[in-house]
Amino acid sequence: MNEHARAHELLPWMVNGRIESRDAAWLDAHLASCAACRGEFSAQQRVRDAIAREPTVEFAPQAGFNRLWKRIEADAHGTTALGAAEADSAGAGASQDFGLERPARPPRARATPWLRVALAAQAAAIAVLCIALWRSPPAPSYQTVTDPPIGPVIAGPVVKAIFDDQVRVADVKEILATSGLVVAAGPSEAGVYTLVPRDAHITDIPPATLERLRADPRVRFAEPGAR
Amino acid sequence: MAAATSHQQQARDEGDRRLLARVAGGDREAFRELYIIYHRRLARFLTRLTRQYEIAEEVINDTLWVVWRKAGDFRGDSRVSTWIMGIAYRRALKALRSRNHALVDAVPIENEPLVAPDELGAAETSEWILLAMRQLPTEQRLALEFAYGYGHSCEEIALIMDCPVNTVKTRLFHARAKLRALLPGLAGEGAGATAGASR
Repeated sequence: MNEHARAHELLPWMVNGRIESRDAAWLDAHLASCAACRGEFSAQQRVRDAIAREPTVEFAPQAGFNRLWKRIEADAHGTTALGAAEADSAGAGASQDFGLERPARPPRARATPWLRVALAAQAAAIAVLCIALWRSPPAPSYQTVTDPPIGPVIAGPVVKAIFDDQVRVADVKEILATSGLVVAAGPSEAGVYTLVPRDAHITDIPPATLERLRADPRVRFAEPGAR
Repeated sequence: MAAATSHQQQARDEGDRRLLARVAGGDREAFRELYIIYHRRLARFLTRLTRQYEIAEEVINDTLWVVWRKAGDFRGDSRVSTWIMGIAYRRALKALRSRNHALVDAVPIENEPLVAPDELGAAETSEWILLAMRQLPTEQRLALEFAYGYGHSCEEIALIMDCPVNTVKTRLFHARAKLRALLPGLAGEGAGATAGASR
């Protein structure tokens, strides 16, 4: 490997500070005498700076934590065996073991007699409930004012978007008008709006629309989303 | 999020290890603290990897659920962040596969320059670079991001992406070559910068 190739390979680690000190000393000396490699070093610094400046999407970490904690508690109250098997196969058994494939595993233990009795009782209860449900009158086809509101039924393509906290309503209107979109739902707990085309006949969100939204500094996040 | 210096990363890892040890003992508050720290770090690259807000959010919780369950098995051979990022990377690939999504390589690679060399002004450099990065294959883009966005070493990136070290080097090599092709003026300004400036 010639000097320039070696320098080229080492440059990213100089830029991110993870280079070995011996290599750093050599690379410093090389850069002092090589304008081309200095140019590449400068280029990589710019790439690093651009990545560092890229805005991040703000989720709602506390809400996410609450959801996860409920799942953990649910694991602890009844689905522990499944949860343990899944976590085992999810690969954290060793620091180098990231394997997340889930090989078929034998059950951890045979069901104990009391568990069999409990399962039989549970099955019987489910059967009784199913019969009761089948015999109950059908739900009315109307909605009263005290019924919980029915969520919007959104068909067709959608965009999930988060607006900057400082954006005014007038800005949102202007963004939506220029993008040909309207708000169908939201904001969610995480501040996400579901946007749909104003023209109901549009079957796909044009890439140019997404690009325009992403380029708009008032929009922190814009991606095609699930309905 | 600039790549931290080696010293900062070491200090951060020591903090992560202390938290993880408490998590292994079932400490909910320590887990909440670790969750908040890694939620932000994971959201960034998972959103970019999956391009789907919902999938990214789901993968974050899947990843940290595994961390909760397996914290006691962490042997400490790598940094905590490398371990967690590796889990997240695999979980994301699995989530995408289960939905029949391919990795996001939506924009075909074109080696036509995006901008003429003399038009690469300082004010727009970052925007052009980010635009060019979106045209890289996902694996190459992520290798750059793990290196520059998260400050991982070559060996750590190989662990996260479950590939040989040479593959990481190759991905970075091609990513940088494509960025140069797309942005010929990238190395133009500041070519005379001193070598040790960023260390």
